[in-house]
Parts: sequence; structure tokens; C-alpha cells
Amino acid sequence: MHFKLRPSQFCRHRLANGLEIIAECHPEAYAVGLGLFVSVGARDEPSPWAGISHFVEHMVFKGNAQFPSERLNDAFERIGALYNAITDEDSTNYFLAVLPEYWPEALELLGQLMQPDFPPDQLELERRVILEEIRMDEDEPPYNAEDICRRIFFGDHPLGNSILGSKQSVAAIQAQDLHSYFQAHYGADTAVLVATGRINFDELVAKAEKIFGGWSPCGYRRQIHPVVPQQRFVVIPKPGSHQQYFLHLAPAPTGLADWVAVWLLTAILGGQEGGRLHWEFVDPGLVETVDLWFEEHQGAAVFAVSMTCEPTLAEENCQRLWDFYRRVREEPIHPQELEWAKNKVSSGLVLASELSVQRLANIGHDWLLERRYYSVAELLEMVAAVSPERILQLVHEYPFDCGTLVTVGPLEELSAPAHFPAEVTVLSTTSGA
Amino acid sequence: MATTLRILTWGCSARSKHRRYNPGFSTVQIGRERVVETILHHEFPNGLVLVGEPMRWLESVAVSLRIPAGSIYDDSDKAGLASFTGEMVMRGAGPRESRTLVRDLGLYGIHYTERVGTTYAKFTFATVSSQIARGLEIFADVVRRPHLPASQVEPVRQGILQELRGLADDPGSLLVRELRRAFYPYPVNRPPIGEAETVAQITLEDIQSHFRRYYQPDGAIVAVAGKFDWEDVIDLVGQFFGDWRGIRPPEITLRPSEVIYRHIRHESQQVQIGVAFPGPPYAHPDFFHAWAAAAVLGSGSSSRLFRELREKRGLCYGCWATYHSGRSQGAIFCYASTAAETAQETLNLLLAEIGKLFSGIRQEELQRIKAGIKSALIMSQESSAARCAVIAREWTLLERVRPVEEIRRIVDELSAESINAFLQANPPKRIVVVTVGAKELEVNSALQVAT
Repeated sequence: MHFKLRPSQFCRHRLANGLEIIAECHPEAYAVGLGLFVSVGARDEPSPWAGISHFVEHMVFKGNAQFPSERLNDAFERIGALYNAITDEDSTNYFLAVLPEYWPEALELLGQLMQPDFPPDQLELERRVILEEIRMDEDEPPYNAEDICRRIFFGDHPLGNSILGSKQSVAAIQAQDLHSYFQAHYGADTAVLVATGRINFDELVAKAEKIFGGWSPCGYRRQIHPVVPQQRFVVIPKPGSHQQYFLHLAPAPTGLADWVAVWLLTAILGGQEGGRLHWEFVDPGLVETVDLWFEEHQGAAVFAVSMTCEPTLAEENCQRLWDFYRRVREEPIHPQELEWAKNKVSSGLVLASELSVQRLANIGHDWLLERRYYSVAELLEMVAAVSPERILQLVHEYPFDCGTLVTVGPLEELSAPAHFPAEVTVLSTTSGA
Repeated sequence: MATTLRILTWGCSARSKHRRYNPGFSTVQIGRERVVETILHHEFPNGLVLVGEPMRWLESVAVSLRIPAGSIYDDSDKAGLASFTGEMVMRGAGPRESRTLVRDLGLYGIHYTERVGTTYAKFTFATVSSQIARGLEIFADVVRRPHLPASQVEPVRQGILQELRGLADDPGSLLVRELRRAFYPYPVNRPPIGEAETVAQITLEDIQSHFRRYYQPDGAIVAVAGKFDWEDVIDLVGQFFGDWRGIRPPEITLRPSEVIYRHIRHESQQVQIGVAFPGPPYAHPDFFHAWAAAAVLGSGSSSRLFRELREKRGLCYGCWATYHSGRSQGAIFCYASTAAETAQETLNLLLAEIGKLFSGIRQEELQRIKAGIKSALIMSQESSAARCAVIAREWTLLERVRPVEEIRRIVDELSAESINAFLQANPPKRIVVVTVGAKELEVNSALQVAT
């Protein structure tokens, strides 16, 4: 298949204080996406402050004396901005989409967000909001299994830290803690300003200089330690639930030049329609859902598989999943299977490239991770270049049948699949682990 | 959980739940700005309607095929039949058996969804513009020449039964399902997926019979948005659907629900609170008044619910109100979830805010809503899928697609005075409350405040 793309231009500049500004400019776009991507997340937290990155993200929207939260929200909404923020293990991202004529005002508001006061009265209210967020997470399937699985898989490594933190840690965080955490991790050297859509880059740089030119570097450098993946099979009874939930993490390659090969591998194997897991489990009605994805962190990556099914089928499905992993190594990747994945992924890339805010997320993510920009054209070329042999090689180098498998549901006990490289552990609760 | 996916392909949502605001980047409703295009329209003799909106600045195209074969036509002992049939038609059609069909869709770079709602069975796809003919050809087979293989009945049934079990675990989904059931008239109020007992009863003969009766062109629509040549699309749709025949299903008689409060017991820390009250249908002249009022109540971080429940009191992480626009009835659905010990306070406040809404809104609140609409209207020009959904909905609810200028004028002309006049003349005739959680709430006195 042949894929056409809209013209775009990549631009890059570094302010004197070290703040990097990158943009993918589309003169024909209808929106401008703007984001401040800050290289601080759950993995940077000392353990008594579990959840503090996410807490800071919430409190940043409480503003400062000049721009308190109500005025900030009003100002964002008066220009029709769609805005949000997100915290993960590696980063905290503040992003928005506006009509092109409003980007200067939007940038000023992003500048205000980076000068929070952490007012103590607001702190107590927001603490309650976050505690509700934690309750919501614990009430919804898979009942915190993701946090638990990560904590076990990563062992002592900070990538196992919970993004939300625990009720106890969130209850203990004080205004002064938020202040010092913010000062220590937010600075011109840990943030990158990203723009997409119909924006003039020179004007963006000039405006950013005015707003962020006085922002000092914070000097924070994350220490990257190697991950030692843990082999565990963990059963967590959740009386009263109807379905059995599985989450599995296995080591994945990181820092590959041809990383789109991993992406194609997950499409071929995945649970979405047409993937091998779909035909194995969903099509015959053995599960409610099964999904496979790839997560890349700075210095580490994992394959994650989630599966939900009726408890009576759980043990059989778990064994079937393990057999599936082993079989992947034996079955060749058929050229037509690869072509299918390439066309699906490539057309998805073209569709996503038309949305300014979608590009913003992708470009910001790649920059924080690798300090690299990939144009859609370049990605399409990388996809086209992957061979079936390369995919099979990946499967041999990174077998799926290892790592940590956690299951939550009504079952009180469940046998590990045959050939599972570890003993079974039963935990008694889904909160905190 | 965290968005550490390398790249989010189209159709995949961000995995993270830790967004600050629930609504996130909402899809856009209506409109265009810089390039004013005509809405294109063509009717075929068999009753099939084709509507199109060219977006020449894109390389993608999105198509939505909607057939009036939704769950309202299900017999009560076979609830879920329409949904079951929707799954079955995808399992092999025309020259392709199930696997070949899915494989070819991928080979042509087609991203698709199949979903059966209350009124329509909806088949939607998006791809690069050069592949539109392939997509139309395959989906014509799906809706006209499905194999409906006997071997697939049990696998599909098992998948649906699993989904029903999963729904029972998810308090948020449970709330929405039960609020619809309590608020809407029968049979619109039934969950399209059906119930475990009725899905267990469905036979291959039922599926064949539902397909024969309801998969037909009269009242069906094909909506196309993105990069395409209109004459080519008319030819293609004529070629694939022109000789399709059938008779439009009759109107269904509705039976109003009389529920005021329903509590669903669920072992969870939070109580999910849902409140619904009626508003005018989509085609009604007052629709935009009610819709703007609902946005003041619960859309975005300056909305009243967000400020009163979350910002001032820290009671909720998620709280919002949204307008459900229907053909014969509209509704405002409000939502909040909070710990059991603060649930009564939250419900009382939510109902009090509904009561206050009918005392009127302020001009500055309306200005905020208008800015949001304008922005959303224009930004929708970046998404063929969003525009396709809008024009399909406009047609199915109005039997025409309003020119953008008409929508812009209506929104521009909205004033706090006209909205307040509407609110004062139309206090809610009925308010329905549904809660899901460990604690049942007291609603009577709080309801009196709201009404």
C-alpha cells in the first residue's frame, strides 16, 4: 500500500537556561497542541512520598496567588482550550489543544502552571480528591492488579512504584514536601516544551523566551539502574467478583534502532481483531478480553498481557496462554501476516498524524525517552523495512514465558501453568500489596 | 495504566486512568470554519441514504453504515438478539470466511468497529482514502451476505456471556446501564447486550430471522467524511447497495418507566451516584437551550458540579453531567462517585445543584460554553471519524444534516436570558436516581429540593 501524508516541518531550539522547544508545524492544521513534558514521575519518588509526583500534578492546577485555580480554569475555558495532565512512571505531562489564534494565551497559562503556590487549604481538599481516585481504582477491575504486578515484577527497582501511591502515603504528604519535590524536579533542564499544528516556530520561541526564559534549571538527573525481573505467580482472592483477571509482565527489548519491529510483533500476536491472541482466545469465546502491549520506560521495557475470563475457565486459559507463548517461538511469521500488521499499523499512523493533539503525545513521549524526533514518514519507512526473520529473532531473544503473572478474582487458589519458573504465592488483599 | 505505549495508534485510547479530569479530550460535535464545504446528499430508490462531507485537507476517510436493526426490535425473551446478530454477521460474509474477512480488512489498512445500539446496528471504519472501495465492498457483504455459520453461535454466545459477567464487576458501567434502564421507556431502556438468561435462549434460527427482517436499506444510512470523490462514492454505494431490498421496520410503542430511585448493591468502597432528568429531543427548537444548561451544570472544570463537589469540597474525583440526545426524548445524565460515608452529602449537593440550575445561569457561564463549542467545532476538522459520526447522527435524528452556519448561528444567538426563560418554563418533570455500592441512600427529601 502507498501512504500519502500532509506536509510538516520539524523545528528545534534550546533556550539559554536549557529549556528545549520542539515543534512539528503543519500550516494546514486546524488546532495547535501545546505540552510541557517534565521528566519526573513515580520512579523518582522516595518511598515515604509514594504518589507525590501525581499529587504535584493535581496541585499545580491550584495555581498561585495571582492565578488561583478558579481563575486558571476560567482562563483555559475562555479560550476554548481542551486541557489535561497525566502522570506516569517516567514523566508528568501538561497538555492542551486550542484554536491557532489562542496559542499565545495558552502558553502563558502553561507558564502560570509552572509557578504553583501549593496553598494549604487547597491541599487538604485535593488530598480528598486523590483518595477518591485511589478508591475508584481499587473498586474497578482489575482491582489494583496492575500496581501489584508491577511492584512484584520490578522488585526493588523504582519502576515498580505506584503512580497514585497508597492511602497512607497520600495522607502523610505535606505542603512543604510538595514544595521541595517541585523545586528539586521541575526546571528548564527537566522539561521540554512541545508544539504541534498550525504554529509559527519563531514566534513560539520568542514567546517561550519571555515566559520560561527566567526558569532555572533544577539540576535533577535520574539515576538509571538495571531491572532484575522477578519470576512470580501470585494469586489474590477477591471474593464477590464475577470474573478472573490476569496481568502478566515480561521483559522486553529497549533502545533498539528498529523498535517498530517490537510494535509489529505486538500487532501480530495481540488481542485486537486479527491478532493471534484474538484467534486463540476471543474468537472461540474463551475469554472476555485479552490484550498485549509494549511499554517503554527510560532504560527498561516490558511486554504486558492482560486477560479476563470466567473463573471456571481460568486455569485452563492460563495454561493455554503459557502454551501459546512457547508456541510463538516455533511458528514462523508468515509474510502475509507481517504485511497485514504493516498495513494496519501504517494506516493507523496516517490517521493519527492528522490529529494535532495525538501527534503531540507521541512526539513528546519520544523526545523524553530518546531525545529524538521521528516524523511519520520516517516511521512508515521503518515499518516497511522490518522482515519476518527480525520478528522471529525478537521472540527468541525475549521469550514471553517468564516474568510475573498476577491473577485477581473469586478463585482462592490456582495452579501455575506447567513449566512456570516459580512457585505460587497467595496474597490476601488487593490494596497496597 | 500509564501511557508508556510507544505510540498510540489510531483507535487505541491512552491507557492511563490518572488524568486530572475525566472528560479528557472529548469528541467534537459539529461544525467547520476555514473551509466551508457543502454537505452532500443522495437518496437511492431502495430508501438508502448517502450523506457526505468532503475534507480535502485530509488523507483519511471514515465511513459509518447504520441500519435500523437495533435492540428495540428484540422480543423480551430474546433480549440481546440484535447484538448477537451484529457479532455473527462479522464472522464470514460474501466470498470470505471469518478469518479471511478480518485478514483482508487489516491488509487494506481498515480500522473498524461493529456496535449494535438501541435503534441502529452500526458498522464504522476509517482508512486511507485510496481504500474506501475495499471497505465498502467488504461491509456490503457483511450486512447483505453474512454466512451466519452455525459453528460460531456458541463461541459468540460465550463471548457475550463473559462480557455480561465483566459488566457486573465494573461499578461505573453498571451504574450507566441501570440508570438507562430506570430512566428511559421500555424497550429503549434495555441494555442492547441483553441478559444472561435471554442470551442463553437465542438460536441460530432467531439470528437468521432477525437478519432477514431487519438488515435492509429503507431507513439505513451511509455517512462518509474525509477525502473522497463524491461521484465515485455514489457509484460505489450504488454498485454495492443499490439492488438491496427490504421494508423499514415499524415504529415501536414505548412504555414509560416509573422508577424514581433504584439501588444496586455492590461490594465497593465508593458509591456510584447517577441522576437523570428529561430534556427536549434533538430536533426540538429548545434543544440547544437545554444542552447549554447541561454543559453549565457539568461539562469541564469550571462547571458547577466540578466546582461544588470537587474543587470546593473534595468529594469526588469524577463528576459530570452530559446530554443524551435522542429522537423522541433527550435526557441529562449526571454522575458522581464518592466514598460511602460522603455519598449522602454528595447526592444531596448534586440534586441541589440541579434545582439551582433551573433558577438560571449567568452570562459568563454561557460565554465559557460558547468558547468550548467554537473550539470543538473547528478542531473537529482534523478528524474524519469525528465528522462522520456527527453527520450520521444528524441524519438519523433529524433526517437532514444542518449546514454548519445554521449551527453556528443557533449557538451564537443563545443568550442567558433565552436559556433562563426555557429553564423557568420547563422544570424537570421527573428526576431518577440510581446508586451502585454498599450503601443505599435516602432520596425523598433531597429530591424535593431539586424539584
